[in-house]
Order: sequence, then C-alpha cells, then structure tokens
Amino acid sequence: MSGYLIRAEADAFLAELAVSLPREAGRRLVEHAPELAKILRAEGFESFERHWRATVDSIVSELEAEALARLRALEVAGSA
Amino acid sequence: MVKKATKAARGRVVSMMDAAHLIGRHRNTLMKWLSEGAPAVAQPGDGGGPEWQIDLGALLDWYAARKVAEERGRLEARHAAETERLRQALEAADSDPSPGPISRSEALRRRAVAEMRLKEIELEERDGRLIPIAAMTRIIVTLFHGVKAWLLGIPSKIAVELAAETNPRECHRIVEDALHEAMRQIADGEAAGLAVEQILAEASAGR
Repeated sequence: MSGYLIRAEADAFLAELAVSLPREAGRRLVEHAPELAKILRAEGFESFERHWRATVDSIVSELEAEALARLRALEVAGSA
Repeated sequence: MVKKATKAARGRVVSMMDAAHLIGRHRNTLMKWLSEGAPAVAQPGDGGGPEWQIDLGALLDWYAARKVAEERGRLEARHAAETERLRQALEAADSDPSPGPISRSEALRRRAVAEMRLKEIELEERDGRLIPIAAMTRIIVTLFHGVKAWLLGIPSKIAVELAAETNPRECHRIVEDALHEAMRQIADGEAAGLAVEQILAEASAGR
C-alpha cells in the first residue's frame, strides 16, 4: 500500500483506534454469546472453542478491513 | 562577494585555510561557495595580504540561509502543481460572475475546501512530516493481532467454570463476564502484546 498520511492525522486515528477497537470487537463478540454458549452445552468445549475462534476471526477481519479503509481515506491527495 | 568586516566581526575573520579547518570542509568547497556568493572580507590582492579573509559568522549565516532557501525551494517544487490548482480554485471562487444563492454557496464551499487544503500543505511544510501508509498499516495489523490474541485466550480461562455449569443462563453470564473483563483489560492496555503506548510512540517516530 503506497501513499502518505499527515502524521498528526495518523496519530489521532491510531489513538482513537487503540481505544475503540477492543470495545467494538468485544461488543460484537458479546452479540454471539448466546449462540456460543449453546454450542458449548450441546457440543462440548472443543467445538465451543473452535466456534469462538471462527467468530473472533470473522469479527477481527471485518474490523480490520473497516480500519484500513478509513486509513486509506486519510491519504494525502496525490501521494500514492 | 567582498564585504568590509565590522568591528565586532574582526575577531571572527580568519584565512581561507583556517576557515576550511575550523568548519571541517575542504578549501575547494569554500572556494566554490565564494564563487556562488558566499561573503568574504578580503580577497587576494586586496591589500590585506595574499589570502582570502573570511568572517566565519557571516559565512555560516550565508550557508544557513542558503540551506533554508534550498529546502523551501524543494518543498515549493513538490507542492507547486497542487498549490497552483488551489490558487486557481480560490480565484475562480472569488470572481464568480453570477453569485446567485447556489453559485455563491458553491463558491464558498470551493474556497473553504481550497483554504483547508492549503492549510494542510502549510502544516506539512512546517512540520516536514508525513508517514507512509504502509508503516501505519503494519502498526494497525499489530494492534489487531494483539486484540485477537487476547480474545482467543478467553475460552481456556472460562473452561473450568463453564464445564461445571449446567444452567444455560449462567453459561451465558460467564461468557459475558469474561468478555467484559477482557474488554476492560484491553481498554486499560493490560493485554499482553497490546502495548498501545509503544505502538503510538512508534507511529510518532515515523515508523
């Protein structure tokens, strides 16, 4: 990914992301809690852990794509 | 360029060889600077002797001013095209011949956008700092890895409690509590591999 960002904007973005990312990831994961608990009861811990991982992977990938899109939007015009 | 030394400057006047020695440059470099306009107090044959006489203070002032001018020229060249485009946009906004409600609004919008961009360029020029997107991307990916690793560590931490619990509602509560605790620890920067301060410091250092 080429191009440049204005340092002050990049710092502000990163500071905001460092706070909002864990909260948003956790919030989205909590939404899956009932379904994950059901899997634990029905299929046991291994299956529960596997589904937990898949859910986390999906959420983190989603949030990462959103963050990188926001980052790209901060690119200094014509710097790519 | 030969200029008579002031009284205060006389103590700083040295020969060409001494000047070269004192500032750690070759005599040929100083000769080149002189041919490019660097100031000298006297040149060979001026009556002051067979050597160039140089006011070190004046020479260093000239050198610093030239460096500043070079840097300014470099930055101006870098932004010349965009600055010109923005100036034209501002002029066009100023000279809109039919300032009805919509066109005036558009002119103001264009002016605001152009002025904002000019301010950004000025800021960039003043600070002289941009950060590559690729470097920021690496930092962000590291941040995401930290969050992911922490969230993936939760199931093993709640396994014993969950295994002993048959009430679905309690299982739900255990999972939620564990998530909230993980979120709290992540938000506080306690999570392993999530050194937010370090990440921000790296970003500030231009990584």
